[in-house]
Amino acid sequence: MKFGWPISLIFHSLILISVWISLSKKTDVEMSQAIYVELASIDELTNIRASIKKPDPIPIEPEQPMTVENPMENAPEEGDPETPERTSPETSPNLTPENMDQPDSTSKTEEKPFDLDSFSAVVDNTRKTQPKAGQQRTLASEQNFIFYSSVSQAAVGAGTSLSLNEIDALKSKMYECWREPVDAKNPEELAVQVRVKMRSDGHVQSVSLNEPRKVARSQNPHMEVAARRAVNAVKDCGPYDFLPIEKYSSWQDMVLSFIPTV
Amino acid sequence: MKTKTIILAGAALFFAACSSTPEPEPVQAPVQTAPIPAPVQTAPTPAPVQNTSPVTGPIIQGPLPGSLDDFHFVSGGQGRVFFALDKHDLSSGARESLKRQAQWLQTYQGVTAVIEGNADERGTREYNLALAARRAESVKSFLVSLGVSPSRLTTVSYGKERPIDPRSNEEGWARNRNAHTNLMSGSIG
Amino acid sequence: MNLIRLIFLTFVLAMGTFNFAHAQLRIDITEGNLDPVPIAVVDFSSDRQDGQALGVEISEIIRADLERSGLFVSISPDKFQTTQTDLNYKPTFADWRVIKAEALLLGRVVIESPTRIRVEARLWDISSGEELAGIVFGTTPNQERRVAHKISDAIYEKLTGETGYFDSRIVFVSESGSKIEREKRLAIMDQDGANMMYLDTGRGMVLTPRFSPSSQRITYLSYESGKGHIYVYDIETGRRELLGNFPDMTFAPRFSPDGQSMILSLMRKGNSDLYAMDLSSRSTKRLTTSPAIDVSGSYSPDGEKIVFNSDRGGTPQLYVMNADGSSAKRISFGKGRYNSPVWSPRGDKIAFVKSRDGKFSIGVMNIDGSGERILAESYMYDVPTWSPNGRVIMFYQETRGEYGTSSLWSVDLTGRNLRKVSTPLGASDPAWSPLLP
Repeated sequence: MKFGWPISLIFHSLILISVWISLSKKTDVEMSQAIYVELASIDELTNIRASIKKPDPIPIEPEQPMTVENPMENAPEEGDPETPERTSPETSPNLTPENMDQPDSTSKTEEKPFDLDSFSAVVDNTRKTQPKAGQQRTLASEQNFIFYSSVSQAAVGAGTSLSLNEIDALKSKMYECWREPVDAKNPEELAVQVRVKMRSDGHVQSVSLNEPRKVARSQNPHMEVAARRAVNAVKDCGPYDFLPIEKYSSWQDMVLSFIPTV
Repeated sequence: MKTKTIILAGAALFFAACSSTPEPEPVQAPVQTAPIPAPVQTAPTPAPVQNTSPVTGPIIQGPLPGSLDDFHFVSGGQGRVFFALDKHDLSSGARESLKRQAQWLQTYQGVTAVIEGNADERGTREYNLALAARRAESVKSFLVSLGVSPSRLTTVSYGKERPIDPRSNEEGWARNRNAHTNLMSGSIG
Repeated sequence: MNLIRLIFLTFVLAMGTFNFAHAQLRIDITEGNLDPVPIAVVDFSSDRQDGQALGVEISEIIRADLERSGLFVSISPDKFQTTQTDLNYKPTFADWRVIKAEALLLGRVVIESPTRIRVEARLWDISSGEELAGIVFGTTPNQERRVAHKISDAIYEKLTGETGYFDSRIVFVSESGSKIEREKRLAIMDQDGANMMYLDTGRGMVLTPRFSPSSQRITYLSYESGKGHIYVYDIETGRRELLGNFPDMTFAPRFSPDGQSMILSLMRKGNSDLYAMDLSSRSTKRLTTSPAIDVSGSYSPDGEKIVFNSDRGGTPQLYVMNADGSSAKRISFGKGRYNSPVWSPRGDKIAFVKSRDGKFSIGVMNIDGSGERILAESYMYDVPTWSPNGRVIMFYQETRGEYGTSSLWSVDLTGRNLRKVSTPLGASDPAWSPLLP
């Protein structure tokens, strides 16, 4: 375990860099797993005539300056997002073809009043279309998805695993926060794995679905709810300050499987 | 329930009228037979009271021959036979009572009857309709076996919808498990 | 750019290796709570006074719907911390976290004209800050109850994964009078007991109404003809019709899932057997031939199977057969008598009435008879009916004795949340409609 510290250091900087890249390039998968945005759904009525406006085509937002809400102190060397040539739309040819293909929508990072008309326009499509990466990022910032470089300073490498008592404490904590699906059909299909990264003080650093594709592909109508409840349970139940700091290395990165009792 | 009472009363009047005068005189009849409560003392005793006499010749105190009261008086049990829990087979007592019913019906050939099957409340609605129908059918087929023409008898099942005793105890339930031979009008033979 | 991607890929790989090396901790969580979800439903706002009154009413109906389901607890508006309840702005989530709300409903009523209102609502997940649903309905002002129920259904679906059942109705038998002089009339009301009205079924006692799963038609048993016969009644037109021309009694009717045919019991010489009847051609097909009682047939939602009640084995038990009447197989083996089976619209359960030692209970079992579970027990329960989503069972209770009365009750599939359904008079034989269109 001599190498624990340097490895950790390298590892964390790698995370930071990769996250930074993913933030600016939208190529990351890990980040986008955590949060879904489904803007709206609408029920059609026959007796009651719904007065939904004809869905206009979803306005494609013009290229917007890339902004990042929580610029990190030790931002990686990759291009500075604030550089003038990137903020001006005229210089967009400089951008990579990938960026051209996916019009950026980071403009949504600012909270602006919802426009009901445009809202109505998109509701019909939301069921089919996947949330856009830009929207996810908006919420990611709100979720305090901040990576703390300080984490690496914590005692790492003790290497001892949690005792049964400590695991039980975690389980009973989850019991308080995790709402099981009540009598869903085929509950055995509704197990959800959640990846949790912890800060050394027991606060949750990040939560995401471990198998987002399995969740997305599930035919079970309860799956979306099951996944949300599992993620929310981990988020809402923190801090997990009862976990022993000396064993941080064993619980700083966990996969919790939420398995409904049948 | 009201309609039933009317039918009963109507039937009573009708039979009374028939017995008192061979040719129907419906206007006059009701006056005579109105005192239905009269046989109260004798009718409720289901014991086999001289089962032959009312048919062969009227007794002085008895109800008018051929009347509904007469039928009840003769057969006992207000025209009802009773069943054991969940059963539709006839007890010996029920058979005795039905024999008297059959005799009476053979005497008054013009009378038709609806046999109503009933069940106690301790069963589910649909199942009890089926169970009570069996009881009605038991009674009908027994009467037919004694010579009553099947064309004079129809059955209906009320399941547990027509209790005669509102109590929820063994006594009340026992009374509600019955088949009721309900006399209807018909051409007088 | 390619270089960056390469580096990124390397990092991802490195991360994977690293995790593997550290044997990531995996824990199975198998115990969760079943507590209701705390939801804050804010009074719907409006620019106009009449709109505000409507908004308050709609919010109250939604709160009541959600509470009654037992899956939600509505947080009292007195506890709300925030004044930012404008539909078009993101909620201040922290204010809602403080009062432990997990979901939030904001809404408004727009009076477009004297005959036209628009109701808009947004459902938020407080923990993630996600907007779960946006809902807009346009309607006439007197339809506010239905709009509220529709919104409740949307919330229910988003937060449980199951379709709702609030915008639905119950047809039942309204009862008055003593036990031996009871008067029975067919009535219909909203699922929450509002808007009750009587249906004109003519003279004679009526029993066991059942809803068509696909239309606004009901079928019921009536003694209008003296003998019990099955009638079909169209709620929208008020037209009623004697079904078929049977000299014998017909009873225990239930629609097939597509509403095109019916299963019923026909009484012949005191023996009841099951028949299927095509509603357009009126042709019948006999399904059972046993000399035993065969009643209470109920189709599976795919129309392939039928569960029914028979005493062919000596006591009343539940049997499942193919829709053509073949391969009947007993599925109930517990102690006691089993009656009144009803196949869940979800397909996975069968509700029934079980009686034993003078007690009656409402229960559910899997379609093969396994997993029997008793949900409620009393002196006399009968006529279970499923909510359109297969989550709630309604039934009636008759109390003991001379002054016994009947009333409607509902219970969750899990056996929790037993509630009385209030009706103006006595009530029995409930039948749940499908979700309204």
